[in-house]
Amino acid sequence: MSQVLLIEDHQTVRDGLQLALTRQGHTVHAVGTGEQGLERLRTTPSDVVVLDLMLPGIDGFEVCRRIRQLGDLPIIMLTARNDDMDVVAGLEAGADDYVVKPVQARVLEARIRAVLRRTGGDSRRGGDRAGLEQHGALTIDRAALVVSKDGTPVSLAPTELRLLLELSHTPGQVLSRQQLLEAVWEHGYLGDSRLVDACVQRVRAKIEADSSAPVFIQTVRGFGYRFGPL
Amino acid sequence: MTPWRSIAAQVSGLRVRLLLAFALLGVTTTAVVASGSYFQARTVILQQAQDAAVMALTDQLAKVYPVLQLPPTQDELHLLAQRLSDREGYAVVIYRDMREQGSLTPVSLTPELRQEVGDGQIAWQRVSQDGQPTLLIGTQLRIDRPDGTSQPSGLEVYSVRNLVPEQQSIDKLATRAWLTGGLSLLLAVLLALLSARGVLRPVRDLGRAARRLGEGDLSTRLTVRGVDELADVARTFNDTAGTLERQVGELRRMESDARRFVADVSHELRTPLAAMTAVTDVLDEEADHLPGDAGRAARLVSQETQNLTQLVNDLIEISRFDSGTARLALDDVDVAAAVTATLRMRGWADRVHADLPPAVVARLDPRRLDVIVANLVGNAFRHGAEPVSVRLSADADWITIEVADQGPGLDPEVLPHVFDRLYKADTARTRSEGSGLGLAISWENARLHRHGERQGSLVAGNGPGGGAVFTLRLPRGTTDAGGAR
Amino acid sequence: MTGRRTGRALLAGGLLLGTLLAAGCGVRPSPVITGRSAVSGPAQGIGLYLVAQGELVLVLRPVKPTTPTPPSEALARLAAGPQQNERDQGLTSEVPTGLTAAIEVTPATGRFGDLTVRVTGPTRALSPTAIDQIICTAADAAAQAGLVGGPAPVTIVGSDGAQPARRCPAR
Repeated sequence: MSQVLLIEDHQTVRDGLQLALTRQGHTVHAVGTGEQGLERLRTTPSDVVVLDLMLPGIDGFEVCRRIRQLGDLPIIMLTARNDDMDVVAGLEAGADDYVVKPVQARVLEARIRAVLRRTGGDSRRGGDRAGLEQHGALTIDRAALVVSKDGTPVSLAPTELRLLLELSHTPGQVLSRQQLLEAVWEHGYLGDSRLVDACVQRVRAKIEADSSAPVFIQTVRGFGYRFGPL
Repeated sequence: MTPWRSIAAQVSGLRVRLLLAFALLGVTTTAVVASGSYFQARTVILQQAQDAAVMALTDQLAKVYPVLQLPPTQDELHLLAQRLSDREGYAVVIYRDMREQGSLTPVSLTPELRQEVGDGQIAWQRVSQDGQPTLLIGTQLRIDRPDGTSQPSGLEVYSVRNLVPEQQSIDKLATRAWLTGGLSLLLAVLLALLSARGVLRPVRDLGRAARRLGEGDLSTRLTVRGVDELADVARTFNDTAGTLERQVGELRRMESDARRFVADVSHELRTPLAAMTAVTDVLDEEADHLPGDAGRAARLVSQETQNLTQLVNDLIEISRFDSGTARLALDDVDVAAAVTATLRMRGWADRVHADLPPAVVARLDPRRLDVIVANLVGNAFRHGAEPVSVRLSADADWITIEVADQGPGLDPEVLPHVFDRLYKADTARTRSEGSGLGLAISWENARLHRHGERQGSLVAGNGPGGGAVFTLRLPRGTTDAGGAR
Repeated sequence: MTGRRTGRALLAGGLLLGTLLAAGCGVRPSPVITGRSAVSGPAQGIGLYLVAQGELVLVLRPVKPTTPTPPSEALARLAAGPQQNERDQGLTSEVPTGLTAAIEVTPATGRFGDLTVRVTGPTRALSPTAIDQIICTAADAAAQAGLVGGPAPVTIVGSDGAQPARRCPAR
């Protein structure tokens, strides 16, 4: 199955999660600090990181940023219940999703699977359309899951890529945040719309010439987001 | 207060009383002074006029002598009357039955004047002649006899002098007196207003400060001016407000300490709970394989761990409202879809009669709406009786969601407490039915939605059919994502 | 309580004002005021004392100022009775018409002498008023002529003797 890196400073929580996730068939490496986690990533590849934000030493946000610098590894934050500032800051730092502690193992497991699906392309929506799509300066290869701008490949995290694919699948059509949450994050209902907003910001930063005047992903006030029209 | 009572209060008010007192004082003083000087001046004017007239007459009479013939002839008498008349007045000359006067105006001499003149005195009297004030001066003409005596000649001269100029002077005086009176009344009223303001301002300040204090602004203080009784009152007020503020502050501090303690405890509980929660699934799975008591114990631990988690989560949520750190995550939400999702996710879609008109979009926090609706519907199932109905309505400013059941309704004694924390209407209710914080959290969630003056509300009541009705009202365009308070 | 006090003060003020107003404005009629005595001045002519309503009244008969009038002339004119214009004024005389009288001056030491008027006929026939007329007119004329210096007592002597000396009773 998948390689899960669990970074959690509380011994009992760490043990509990490791026990439960292992029973679900994941290979779990559990460490107690951010430094250990980063060190582990350097040596051993992982499929997903489950990251507690409250860590001794370098905190979860910093760990999150450093993992993002290394690559597009999916990150699921463990956060205190509705610590709104933490959620926003974590999403801005590049996290793909978050769960609130205390969390039941099967909830976390479902999120892990959803994130992995985005990476692995298990049920890649829009993948049926082969070939290259050209949207202005943007080239989207749905088969190879590559996005390039002016011929240069753009490095997108799995969630960011899924969001862009979802939006560009129906150019000019408005998708609400809840629709996007269901489609990209697979949140059954009432997901946190800030996930969408934060992810849109990150994608814009990578593909738009001017993030404050976006061309590709446009905000439709009161409704949601829309790809184009260019 | 009725208009009449308010007018009465105005009239008997301090301001009016001060005004009256000052006005009265001013008017009385002015009346006494002005009328006193008026009468004095009048007397002086009249006396001077009279004395001058008497002197003039006496001087003129000196020219009459020597007397040549007695009794005089009519012509002589006439001549005499003419000579004694001038611009100032005219003369009447009488000798026994003969009479001549220097004017055509008929004049009547009073008997008492004639009596005094007959007795040999110069006499005068003010009378009203044809409506005009007139001075009558009369005297005999006596004749010096060679033997040194003086004999009455029988001639009487009366000078009739108009006092209209004096009347005019006196009238002018009177006008001036009235004017002075009026001015002093004005001055008195002005002074009264000024002093009323001086006295009333502290009183008004005190009233305003007391009202502010009553409205909860315990930092209200008065500026103490001077050392009079009002300053004493202000000082006392300040002392009282200070004591009150200290005590209320102490109480608030204690309350917030208690709340912080609850919040801290909840946070501390979370770590062990996180560990326990992580493995409840393991317990659940293994319980079936465990023999007898061990299996039951495992299930019990798993179940209660989840309940405890719910309670701690609710406590943390509540403490967030208390500390004002709760924030809204606003989104434009299709309310009908959101409510439907809430019902569907909890498996209630088929059991609830939902009346949800489509296309009602409101800007609100969908997670909090979900919490509220789930709580209300869950409550209806637990404490009321089916069918449970959810009805959505909306106008330009508000959306309204009514959750009603067909149970016995809420006891009037319970009604004021349904949103209290951990309030158990039914003492026999078991703990497993919820944390007891659900409605309190729903209430806070509703109030967190705010748009200008409009603030969301959650109200409990009983429907006409008997069941309990919870009415949620949220402003349609919540803009304020600020704190809970 | 305060209201009642205010009311009372208002009432008092009103009363005071009312009284003052009642005292009146402008020039009001007055009772007779008397000053000093009436003026007195010189006269020309012969002074005679006639009678009106039982009182002596001085009349003046005009004369040429250049001619000095002897005192007896005055008595003669008195005896001649009132003239028409005097009678018109209700003046009469009780001195019998045609009475003749002469005035003598009895010198006295250190002062002007007494006056004696000698009349024809008995003095008892003369009424007291007539006697007063004669005494006053005589004293007046004598003083005019410079025979006496002041109000002098006059003795009337008739055929039946002399009346006691008297002064003119007129004012």
